[in-house]
Amino acid sequence: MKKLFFIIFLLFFFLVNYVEAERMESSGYRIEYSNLNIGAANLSDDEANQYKLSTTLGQAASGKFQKDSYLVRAGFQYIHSIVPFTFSISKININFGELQPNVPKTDSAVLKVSFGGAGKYQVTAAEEGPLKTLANNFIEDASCDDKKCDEHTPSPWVSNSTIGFGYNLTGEDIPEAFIACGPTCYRRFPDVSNISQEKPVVVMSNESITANQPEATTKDIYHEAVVTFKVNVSAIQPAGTYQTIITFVATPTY
Amino acid sequence: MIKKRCILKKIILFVNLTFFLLFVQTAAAQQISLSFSPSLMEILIKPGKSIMLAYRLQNHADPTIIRTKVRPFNPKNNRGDIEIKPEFDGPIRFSLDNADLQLEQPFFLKTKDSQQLLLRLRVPEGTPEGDYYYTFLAETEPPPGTEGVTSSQTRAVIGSNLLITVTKTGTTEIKSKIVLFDLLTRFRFNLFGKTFRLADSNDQIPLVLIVENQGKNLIKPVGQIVLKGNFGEKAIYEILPSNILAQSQRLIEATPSAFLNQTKTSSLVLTGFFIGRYQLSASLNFGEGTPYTFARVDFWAFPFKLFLGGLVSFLAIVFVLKKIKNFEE
Repeated sequence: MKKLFFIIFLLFFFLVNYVEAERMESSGYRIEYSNLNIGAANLSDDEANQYKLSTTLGQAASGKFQKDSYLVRAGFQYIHSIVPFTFSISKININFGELQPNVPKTDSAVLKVSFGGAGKYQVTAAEEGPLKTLANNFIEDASCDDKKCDEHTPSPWVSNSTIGFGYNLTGEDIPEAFIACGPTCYRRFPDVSNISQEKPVVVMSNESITANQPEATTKDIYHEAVVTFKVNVSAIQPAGTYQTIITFVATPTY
Repeated sequence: MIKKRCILKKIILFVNLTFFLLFVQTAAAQQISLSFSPSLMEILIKPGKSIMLAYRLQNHADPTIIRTKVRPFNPKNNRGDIEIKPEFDGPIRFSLDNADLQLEQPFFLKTKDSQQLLLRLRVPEGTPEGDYYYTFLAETEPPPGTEGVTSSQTRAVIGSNLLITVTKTGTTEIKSKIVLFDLLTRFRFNLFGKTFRLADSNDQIPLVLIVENQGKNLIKPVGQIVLKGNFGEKAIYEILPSNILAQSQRLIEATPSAFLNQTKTSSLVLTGFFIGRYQLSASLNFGEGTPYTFARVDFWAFPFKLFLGGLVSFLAIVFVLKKIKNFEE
């Protein structure tokens, strides 16, 4: 009888599968560390005001990590969102095609920012030099119809005889200057390559934590702006392939 | 035989067309879409120590070449914007712990792929105590432009901020001051050395609270703004936690039940029907055991618009009645 029990016990012992902690997989998916962000909130008893509880459920790397020599605060418990900070540009290549004198060419790209995890953000823009050829001929940056636009101030640019390279902004979170000036207004990109090393300018920014709002829809955490690039040359512009790089930097706030 | 071949050709053509129409996707311009998390790291560390920080970079769009770098930043204004310096400086040393990746070296990231970036942060011995602020950046490499076509290539850069406090003892310097606590009321005037703020009862009144960090370490204010009326009414607005970097100022936001105002230059917008004298007080502290900082401001509200409207209506009625009376006579 004892032997029988012993055999059954051994049989169970060897047949039992080993357990792999927190691993979920099927033919269609595998979760390496099954740690799903399922919620985060600030709780308090509003009436008595006796306790405050800040919670995070899931998220392996969020929270406060402390050792003798360091302390790290990371993740969304401190920012209260599970939406990652995301930045998108709809088009890498802004193509003006073949330029002809006094025939302005435009092309546009959509900048999209999701900033749920960041709370607030800014996007800056700058050019790595003007549009130029390998022979160093260049198209000057826009000064607009009234010659008053610069890196910060937009101004109307509707005349076909006005030459230069600039941009316009429409959509969400764009600078007040563009809203006030209107859709025909352009300004030039700051040039980070020149001697004066102009500083990048803010083209999108938002300071409201929309993702935190209970009725926030998906759209609320995606903010979009359209940047329209415009170029025009005069009859004396040397022929050539004019190119430059525009850098958009999206950073969350601190 | 020829008829069979003809049928076979037709079938092949039909199958090809079906596949072409059903499965071939439309071509779109090359896009960039990157996610970077976490978006903020706050580190308190002793000199001579090093730690590893794990980030995740995801590519949601077309395959791209990525380059990572770390650059110092300065606070740009009192709204939390930053100004990233073009070159690296400061005593903190950064490197990637990934076996196959290095900072400033390009790597390829496929569509819908993600890359864990293990950032090693080392604080050399002898690093002066204080705060050091950096942004960990991931930038795309724009492809070369097409010959013969005037074009501009776009580069996307996404960043995550690192707020590093170097301290030997674990204690930080908390030295703050409320530099502005004021209401942007419609009218204000000075009388006998005192400022009187006047608002209409229905006005939306913006409140500005700016705190200056005069110390060498970042601080996080917590506290409340309390509105008290002369009839015993009271409203409490919780201060939203935010970092004020060393030697900088920040506009502090307050919110009732997590709803924020949309104006960019105020901490809070007071709404309601106000009448009489109101007092607003701000009380802030910067963590457990730290002293409170107070500020107070008051304003008067009267139903000017309502009164004017009533007066105009009254005068109009009197005028009409007089006209009617004259007409009857």
